[in-house]
Amino acid sequence: MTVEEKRCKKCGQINIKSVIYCVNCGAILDKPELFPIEQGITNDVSKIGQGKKNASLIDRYKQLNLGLKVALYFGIVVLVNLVVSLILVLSLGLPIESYFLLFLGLFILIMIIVGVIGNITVFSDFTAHLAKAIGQLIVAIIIILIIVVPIYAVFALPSIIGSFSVTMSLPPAVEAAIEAINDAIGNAIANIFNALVIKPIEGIGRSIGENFESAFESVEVPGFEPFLLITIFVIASIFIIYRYHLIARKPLNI
Amino acid sequence: MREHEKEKSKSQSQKTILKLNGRSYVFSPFSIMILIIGAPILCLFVYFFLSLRINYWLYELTAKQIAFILNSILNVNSQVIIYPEQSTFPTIFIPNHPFNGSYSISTECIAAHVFSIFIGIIGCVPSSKDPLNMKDFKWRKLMVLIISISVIHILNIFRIALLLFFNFNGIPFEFIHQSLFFITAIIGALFFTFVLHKWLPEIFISIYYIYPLISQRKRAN
Repeated sequence: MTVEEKRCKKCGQINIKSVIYCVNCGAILDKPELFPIEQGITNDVSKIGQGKKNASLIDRYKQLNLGLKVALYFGIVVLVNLVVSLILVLSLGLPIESYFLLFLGLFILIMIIVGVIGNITVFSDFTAHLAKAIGQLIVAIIIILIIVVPIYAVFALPSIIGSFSVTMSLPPAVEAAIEAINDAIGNAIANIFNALVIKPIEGIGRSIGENFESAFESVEVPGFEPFLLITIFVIASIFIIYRYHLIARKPLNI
Repeated sequence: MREHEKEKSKSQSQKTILKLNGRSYVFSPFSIMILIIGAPILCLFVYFFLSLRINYWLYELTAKQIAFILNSILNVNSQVIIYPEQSTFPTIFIPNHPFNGSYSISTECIAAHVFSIFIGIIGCVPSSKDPLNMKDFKWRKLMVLIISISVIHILNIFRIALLLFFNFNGIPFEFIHQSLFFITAIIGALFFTFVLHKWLPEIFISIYYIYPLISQRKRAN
């Protein structure tokens, strides 16, 4: 046997050194070298998936049990409701005695809003939604600016132009003429806008309001009693719907 | 390109089936929209209809039933006063009353707002497209309507009779009115929910159906 040959350990056949398997019996001629285990790496599979030290809040929320999830949800609703009610009371100048009633009234609305936002956040790709929401907000702000700035300019322009003092050294007659022209243009724009847009809208709104009130003059408006009935019905419905959610099988396609 | 269009139309025509309690439920999104938007509108229409003077007979009937209970069970000598011009609500008069013994039976007293809510909700409940559920859906709806309206009417009459009886015996009107209303509202709402859950669960299932419908559409897209 030369240096370029090797013998199979199983059948004794002499093979060329470059061959991996024996040409006679097929056994591996040279077993591959095992990679050395690096320091610090373990083969303990029980720790797979637990290595994340900084799990996101959403992942931690998903791992909570049901009671804690419900308690956290209502805790957030109450906190948001406390802040919103306080802002409304202070900004609208309501008496502080109405705070509790306002809190109760807003409770259902804020429960729905927090629930919707919470579900979108937890059960969807939060980053993508956030980016989309920010993009939409920017577009909305641009559109509002495009609409609001001209309206502001139309209404504020006469007073702005009227109060603008010309610092150039012009003859008084020329200054007076410029001011008169500016006033005339500003007033004309404002008058046209009033006549074409504001007055018709005001007229239509007033007539709708008067007809609405006169149509229902003889109708007795109920108090808060229907809302109590609806609230209890909605709360009971939520429990029933949640029970269906727990027992429902996955939907199929046909 | 044609295969892609075929696949797209196939995915769009796939229905979402919800299996609950051994039954299958399939709703169309349009019918769910009718429930969400149409129910409040129908409630308003029914309430305004019940407020009209052509339904004066309902006010009279309620007043007479209350007077019957007051006289026969609660031993209060009450009388019903009905105005021929029908522009004034009928009143129940109790003589020898410690406070004002004249009570006007208004729209709220006949529980018109409660009836309008019940009729609005029951009227707009969508039907599942599964043949097993569709078979007796209309009868179940009718049964739920009759049961809920009858029970609430009886509950309301007893509520007003007890209200007048307690007021006749010295308890202030506002106190007993609010207390009795809270109790009857809770009983009425829970009873209505129970009846719907027992015989017309499609209302709750159709609301829940929105969730698998949206998630299925998202997955298909």
